[in-house]
Amino acid sequence: MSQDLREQHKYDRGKSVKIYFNDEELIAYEGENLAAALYSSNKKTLRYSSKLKMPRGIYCLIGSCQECILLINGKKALACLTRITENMTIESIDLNDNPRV
Amino acid sequence: MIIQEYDIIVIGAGPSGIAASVTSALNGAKVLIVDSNFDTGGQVYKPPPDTFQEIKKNYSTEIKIQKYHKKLLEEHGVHIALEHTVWQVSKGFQIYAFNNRNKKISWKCKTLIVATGTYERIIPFPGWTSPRVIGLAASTTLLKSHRVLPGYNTIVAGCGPLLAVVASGIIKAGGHVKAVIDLNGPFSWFSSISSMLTNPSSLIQGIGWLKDIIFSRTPIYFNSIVKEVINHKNELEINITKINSKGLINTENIIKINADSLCIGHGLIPSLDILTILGVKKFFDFQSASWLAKTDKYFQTSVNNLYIVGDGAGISGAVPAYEKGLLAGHSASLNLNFISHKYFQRITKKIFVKLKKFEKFGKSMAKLMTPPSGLIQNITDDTIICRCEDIKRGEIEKAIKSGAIEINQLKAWTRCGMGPCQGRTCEDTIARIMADHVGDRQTVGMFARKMPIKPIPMDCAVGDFKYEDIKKVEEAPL
Amino acid sequence: MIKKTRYDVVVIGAGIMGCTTALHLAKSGMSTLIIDKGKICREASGVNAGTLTIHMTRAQLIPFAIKGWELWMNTNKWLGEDIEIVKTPGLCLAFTEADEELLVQRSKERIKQGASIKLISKKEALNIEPSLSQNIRMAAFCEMDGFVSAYKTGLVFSKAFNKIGVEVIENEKIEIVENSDKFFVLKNIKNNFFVEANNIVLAGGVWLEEMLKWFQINISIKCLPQQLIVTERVNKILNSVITIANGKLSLKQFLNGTVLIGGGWPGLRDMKNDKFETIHENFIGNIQLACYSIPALKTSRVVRVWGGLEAETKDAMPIMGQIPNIDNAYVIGSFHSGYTSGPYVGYLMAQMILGNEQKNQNLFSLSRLL
Repeated sequence: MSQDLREQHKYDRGKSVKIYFNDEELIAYEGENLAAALYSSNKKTLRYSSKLKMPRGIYCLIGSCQECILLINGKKALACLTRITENMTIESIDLNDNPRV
Repeated sequence: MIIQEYDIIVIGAGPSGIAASVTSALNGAKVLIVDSNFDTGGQVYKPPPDTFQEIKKNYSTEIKIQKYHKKLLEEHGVHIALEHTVWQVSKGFQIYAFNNRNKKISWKCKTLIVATGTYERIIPFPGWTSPRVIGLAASTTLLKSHRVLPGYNTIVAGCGPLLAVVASGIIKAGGHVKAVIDLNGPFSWFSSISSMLTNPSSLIQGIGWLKDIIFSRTPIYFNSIVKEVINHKNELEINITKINSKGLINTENIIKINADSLCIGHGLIPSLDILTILGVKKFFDFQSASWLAKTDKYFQTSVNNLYIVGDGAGISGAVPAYEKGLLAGHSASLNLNFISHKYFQRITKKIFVKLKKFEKFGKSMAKLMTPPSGLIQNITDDTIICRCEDIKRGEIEKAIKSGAIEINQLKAWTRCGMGPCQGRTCEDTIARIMADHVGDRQTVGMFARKMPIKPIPMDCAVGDFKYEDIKKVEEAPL
Repeated sequence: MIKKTRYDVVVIGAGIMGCTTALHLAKSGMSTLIIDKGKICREASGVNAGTLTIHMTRAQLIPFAIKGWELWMNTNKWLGEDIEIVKTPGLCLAFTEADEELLVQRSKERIKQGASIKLISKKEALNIEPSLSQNIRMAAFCEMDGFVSAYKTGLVFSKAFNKIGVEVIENEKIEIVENSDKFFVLKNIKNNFFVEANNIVLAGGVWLEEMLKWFQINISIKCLPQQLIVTERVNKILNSVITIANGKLSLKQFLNGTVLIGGGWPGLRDMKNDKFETIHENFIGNIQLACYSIPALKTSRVVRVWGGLEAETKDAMPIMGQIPNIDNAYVIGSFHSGYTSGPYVGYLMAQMILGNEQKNQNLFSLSRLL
């Protein structure tokens, strides 16, 4: 089922662009909030937690909790404080080399 | 790195920050306002991105206010730095920030007004770290600003007016609220209605929220909490149970509801990171269950020329926040000799009168947002408390039994609060757990705050440099 | 709660020196109380980088550091349990010709004192530590290096004290010590706290200057506030402890993936409020040096900067031994890289008090500073 949690009918979201999340192509809108765009495209798991390797996603949406930290165009940044640009490449940060301590 | 000097810098572009900035600028000061978000308005007046166009051009009141506030800033020559995250503030007020392009910048000011508001409190429960569980305040951002639904079938839970805001927001946006789980009873809503009457516009707003919920026949479970969330592949199984007035579960009965998302929140906690680093005097306010800075009536802290305004100075809502900002702006202007004492007395007198009218309403709303202390009894030993470091309640209890009686000692022995969020998310819960053993929150203390205020990427901080450029320091002794 | 009014020995200061001294005294049968104005192992001993390096230890203190290192690697034997210790080799880097000269000279001095340090080529260094910058010229290598998580040792000592019967009082600042003929009386009058001791050991770290005044001894002990920086968890990039020729960098990666950056860059310390303030340019300089040495660090984020403490006497050498002209009163402290040598010198101090140690009696005598 293709899911899009974006609110319908009220807003014209502007220019639609391609972005890439962990090599998967998604459609988003230029200027949209990245965290919201990923969430609404059902990309809810953004990374795995430090010790227990459990799925994590958006939580506070104001840049406080650091849960949505991702590699955005090669640099670490919070998705909730990032706006979408065309061809944006987003990767989960793989901490699998981290022993579980 | 260019360092610009200002008379006044305001950190946080919510209503109180804007009020403080505009007032100071009007009084003649050179002012900068900084915010990490992409637009002004803070958490209350969060507009959609400027790349969105409203199809019917029927702006809500909140958007109208946001646009008006922004215009005020621009018209009065306040410099605006959006998408900037402040990571260090030193004494004498040197502010260091980095922007969304990973560039660092620094400013200096004579007076600093902190308007960083609050962050959300969520009392943990098994399953709360699921990606389908998001904060209540976070949900208002998702809905109002990002125009995205939390799910197709959402449960809204917790306490306070945000319950109604989020539930009605979801319904208005075309979503479905499966249930509202309020840990307070209906009576507590009624008891705040009298205070809402001192602020009629809020009463109308409040009725508006309730109307959506009632008309959509959303079931509301009062005096209830989410006991546990079980993650299935594409949905959540949410277990709900009843609590007594102290927050303790008083029944074996569990109601199970399936939903694809859970929006939950237990109030707001004033952000004191910057103030704590600068050494302000604080006290623990038992009513709101949060630490607050000691201030004079113009919101100046115990550190000269350092102010705290808005909900960060004590939760009372958006309208009083604006008035607090005005007071601080005038006080700062007076201390910098931009206005006369006579003018200052005259204008602040009027503001105090206005403020008094709103305080009662704001305080009763804040009361609804403070969860009972007993709620933590429901957190199992297996529940994660520190999200950054994956530390469970059982480990925290072990450290307390080994002798940790102060929160920084507990931090050293468990690693709670050592992750990227530096304890902002887990501090409140840990302090509540410790207070149960140790006696009270004042004794337990709060996590020591150190720079950076937010994590700073190394490559941004170091910039482009050669070996010869690195500052020379005295060689270590042989 | 204290169980007696008089102890065989009271140790004031529950850092690594005080704790180790107390531990050994108790083991040999003395009724022991250890007091700290704060929490156990939370001042300098709680916040330092935990580096157990020979490269950065003062040359003259190397014999003590080597013995200390061996004790750290075997805490099971004397502390009762294994603590989180990581044994790694240590690499000391040279980037320029001047660095190289300095490194050769300093390594020579340390080798003289018993350290097994080998000078190696850039190629060999990169082999040991692939994430090193390509800009290094050569390095010094020492097999014996590593680190502990300093902030965790308080808990381990707590447990050991519990087992052995050392009593611990935290959050009690001794304001005054009276010296009667037969015993010492330690007091905090405001808190109504009194305790008596036949022997007293001052292990107060950066507060020793204040404490020595109880015995009318006025020496100046500088308190050096030193910057420490830690990153978020990152994937493994370090196999060794990294230092550099001029001693102003230390880098290590803990098992949990966080990287700790030290090197003794100064900060400012407000002694009255016990607050450390970062000097911005020193923060930038320190991390620039770190990123220059290990370029992969650039992709990480700094999550915290705090201040460590080091105490330094006028001649930058330690004090250890009997307090001149006062029977049964002892002092220990002001060791550079004291954390490494702590377990050994604390043991030595205990032996001195027990009368078992004659050799090092005057090595770091306080009288030289009077």
